[in-house]
Amino acid sequence: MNVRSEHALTFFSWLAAGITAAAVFILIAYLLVQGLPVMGPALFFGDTPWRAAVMGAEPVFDGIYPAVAGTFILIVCSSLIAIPLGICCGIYLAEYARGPLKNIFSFMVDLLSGMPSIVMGLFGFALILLMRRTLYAHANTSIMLSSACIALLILPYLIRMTQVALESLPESSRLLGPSLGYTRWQNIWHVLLPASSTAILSGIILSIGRAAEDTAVIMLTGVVANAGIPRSLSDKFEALPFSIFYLTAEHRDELELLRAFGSALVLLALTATLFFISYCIQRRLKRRWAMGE
Amino acid sequence: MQAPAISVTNLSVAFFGRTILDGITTDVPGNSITMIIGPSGSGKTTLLRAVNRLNEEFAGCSNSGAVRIEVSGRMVDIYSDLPLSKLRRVAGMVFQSPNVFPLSIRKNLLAPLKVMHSLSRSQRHERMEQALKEAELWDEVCDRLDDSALTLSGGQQQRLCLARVLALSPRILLLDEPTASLDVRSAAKIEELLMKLKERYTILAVSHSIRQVKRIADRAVILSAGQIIKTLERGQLETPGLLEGLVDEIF
Repeated sequence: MNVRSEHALTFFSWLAAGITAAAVFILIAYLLVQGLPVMGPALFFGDTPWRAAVMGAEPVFDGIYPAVAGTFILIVCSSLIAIPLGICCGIYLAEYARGPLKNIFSFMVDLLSGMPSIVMGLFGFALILLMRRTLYAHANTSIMLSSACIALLILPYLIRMTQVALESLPESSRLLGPSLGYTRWQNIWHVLLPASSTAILSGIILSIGRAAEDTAVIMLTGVVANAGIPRSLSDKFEALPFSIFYLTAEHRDELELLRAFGSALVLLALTATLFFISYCIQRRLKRRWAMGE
Repeated sequence: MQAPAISVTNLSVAFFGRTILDGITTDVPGNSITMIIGPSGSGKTTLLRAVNRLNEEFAGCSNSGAVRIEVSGRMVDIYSDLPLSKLRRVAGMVFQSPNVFPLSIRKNLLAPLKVMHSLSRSQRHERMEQALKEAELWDEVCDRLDDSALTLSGGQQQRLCLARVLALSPRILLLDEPTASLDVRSAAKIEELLMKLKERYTILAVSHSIRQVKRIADRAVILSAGQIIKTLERGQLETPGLLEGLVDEIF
């Protein structure tokens, strides 16, 4: 390769990285410029006094507080379902599954990860229809159903990240546990999982982000514009991405559009907070593993 | 020469039908150093890993023949008479490049003890200290046990790996080119250590260096294409040119 094309390639890869960084910067800056001015108690609670709203004493009609709470509950519930399931499934695929069975399972995971989220929503919706006709006539869409469908949506990320993280560990660390007499599970638990925890964490972060932003699934499985804060898992709920959608689609004045930007900023902050929390948990677990006794 | 501590009879190992070891029969005398030497791909590491059944961690592995090791005065079959986890503690392994846990020096020794043995806290610490002393590492690390093991030099890390194995009270040490990744001085230190350790343990090691074999081996097994070409005893190893000649032929 001659010097000129060498330079050209260097320049283009530099440019590509630059464009990406610039796009992220512009996006966030734009959101900040548009959203910051409307940030304040009124955005969250409308005319309701914030104390009463947070305590649940008075309903909030003109603020996004119920949507923040809804999205938060949705992410937590779907993570509680998907994270243990996804990590265990990843462990199975990396450490136990062999031969044709492994290929079949891998294909299923690929299929699931290629599934558009609207299909997942439709599945949840159809499930309710089926239940109404068969087992339970009062079955209805709810935050529980949404969480389950979202869990299904983020499951493949968790499975793949765990599987790849485990499989990419070098032979020397894979053999270390067994060479000391560890059983397979002891090796996974004491050696392989801690060694791949950073990569598994990035799978968790990716899936939290996905759970926070998805709109298609929840629109068919229980989100409603003015549901308020869900009192139980079988209630309907509000969610930030949906609020952003309808604030933008149906805005009557400039202020409502600006509130959509404010909501987007809040959604971003909420996911960033959850990222940070999972990062702290992983660091803590890792430190406990490293220091111990 | 001592009674055998490891006895291999007609051992063949294949991966996905491809034969790596082909009808190996050999004895490893107790309390001595036996070194396996041969070109890469000759099955040295596979032979070593046959003794602690580590080959079976890989897909497509099939074994035939017998491997027996001496446990409390009796020769026992490693496939039928010993639980896998016990076998791997009795036959401790050290790898080519030091693979310490990315943990503190202390934890590197205590973690396996905690997983494998039901010892009290003080017993574990006692074993740790004893193993570090046996690996001649104690003086270098006793005041920095809580530092990460990754801060140690390559040679120290390798001795830490050795200590980690010694803490589990093995009878046999399986060493896979234990000095290959080390500088000359660290390697010499390990060789010196092995000469002392053979008083208490049976050592089976893969080596990449003819000179190392001549320096410390009591017996050399020359391997080529999965078969033993020749076994030389200490006396024969001292014959000038004999080992070199044999090795030249197969490389």
